[in-house]
Amino acid sequence: MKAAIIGSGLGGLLAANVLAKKGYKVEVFEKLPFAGGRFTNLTYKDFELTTGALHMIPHGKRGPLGKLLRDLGVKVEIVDSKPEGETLYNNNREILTKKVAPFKTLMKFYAKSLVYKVFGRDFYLSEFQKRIDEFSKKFLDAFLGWSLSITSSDILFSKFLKIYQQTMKFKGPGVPIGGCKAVIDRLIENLESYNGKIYLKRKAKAIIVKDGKVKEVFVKNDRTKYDVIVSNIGHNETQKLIGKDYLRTELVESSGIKYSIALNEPFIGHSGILFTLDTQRISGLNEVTNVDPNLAPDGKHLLMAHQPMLTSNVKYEISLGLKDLKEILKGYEYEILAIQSYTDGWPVNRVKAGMDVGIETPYNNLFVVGDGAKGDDIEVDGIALGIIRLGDII
Amino acid sequence: MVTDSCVGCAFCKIVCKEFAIDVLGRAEVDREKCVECKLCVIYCPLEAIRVVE
Repeated sequence: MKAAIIGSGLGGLLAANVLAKKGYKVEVFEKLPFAGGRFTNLTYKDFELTTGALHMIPHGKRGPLGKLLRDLGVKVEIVDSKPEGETLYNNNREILTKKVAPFKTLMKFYAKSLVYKVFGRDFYLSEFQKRIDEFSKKFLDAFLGWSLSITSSDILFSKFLKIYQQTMKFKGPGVPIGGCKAVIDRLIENLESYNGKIYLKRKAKAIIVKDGKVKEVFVKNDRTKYDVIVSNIGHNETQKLIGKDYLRTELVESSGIKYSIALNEPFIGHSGILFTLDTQRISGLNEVTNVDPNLAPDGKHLLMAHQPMLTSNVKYEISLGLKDLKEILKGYEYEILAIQSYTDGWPVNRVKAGMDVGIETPYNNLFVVGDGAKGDDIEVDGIALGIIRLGDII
Repeated sequence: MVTDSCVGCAFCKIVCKEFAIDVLGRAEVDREKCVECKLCVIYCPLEAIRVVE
């Protein structure tokens, strides 16, 4: 049995490993000159910047991705963050605990959860957010902005509840030692141990359908037959390769901006997330060099900040983000290494959290994985849930 | 030449060995510093950079 994987992002490589383990002869096609998509490192001035992700796994080694990697025999060292997070509110830093919100707000949340569970009444999270205290309101914005690049009016309460439950169950983040690229490199090594192949600079030009099944992939000048095809490029782009639309709804992506900042001394001082509540745009920051100093040159630190894009004016969004950073980093000497925007066809998530349509397509041997077809969890842990589903089906 | 498909992901800036590209929402190439090695062209995920003669 032969499988083709289109795209070598985290989803594509995880799928490749799952299929190779099941005995498939796997071939991965990547259009870019490197593997890993938006989950790998690019070196700049000896700093390990990333193509997208924040050198962080939302639920650390306990979460879906950590477990999937272990099940696949992929050895990546993930160091769970301690503390998991902190808030910066009214210029005051405080460690995050389970009792992050005041008792009254938590009770309101439980009451709403009960109403949803018993009566099935669903509503946008913003409706709940309107009725809570100022701190919780701002924390919710920072949490959603950092982890999902969305606002509370983008997500249904039921979908948020699932993410909340995952977070309560698996807890906060972890940092892969070596950054995102360490995960990608280990996945490639593992795939190659099964004789799976990765072809770089090979763009899939078309998927050929016959009798309601996908049959062939057209790469370079060759058409090759496969039993299963897994696409890591999202449903929209996959439809384009087939030449026929199968989705009934339009998928909306999430957009955001990431700032990579060089520091001479640590600002956060630990490997958890600093959620920023006093800002106009920046949702949070992390400083992964506190756990893996090799991600920056000797004696330097790498601070990464993220903001969702709340308007479509990128330059305006960046101006607000930079203003926030200036305020947050007052008194610190810093250099902005890179500002990376993710939108329009190269987004934070190909599908906004809570709007995923799943990994299946009308063709029973074609699947879509990656951030265009996540399960109900944050970022790469959501991707892992999609892959676990793939393993269950095939 | 940077086309309208550029979203500003800055892969080009990061991989450019001449530090000839700056990105603020969109890539801008400094023609004085550019040596036309085309590294930015092959790294661009959206095929948004072209070399013009």
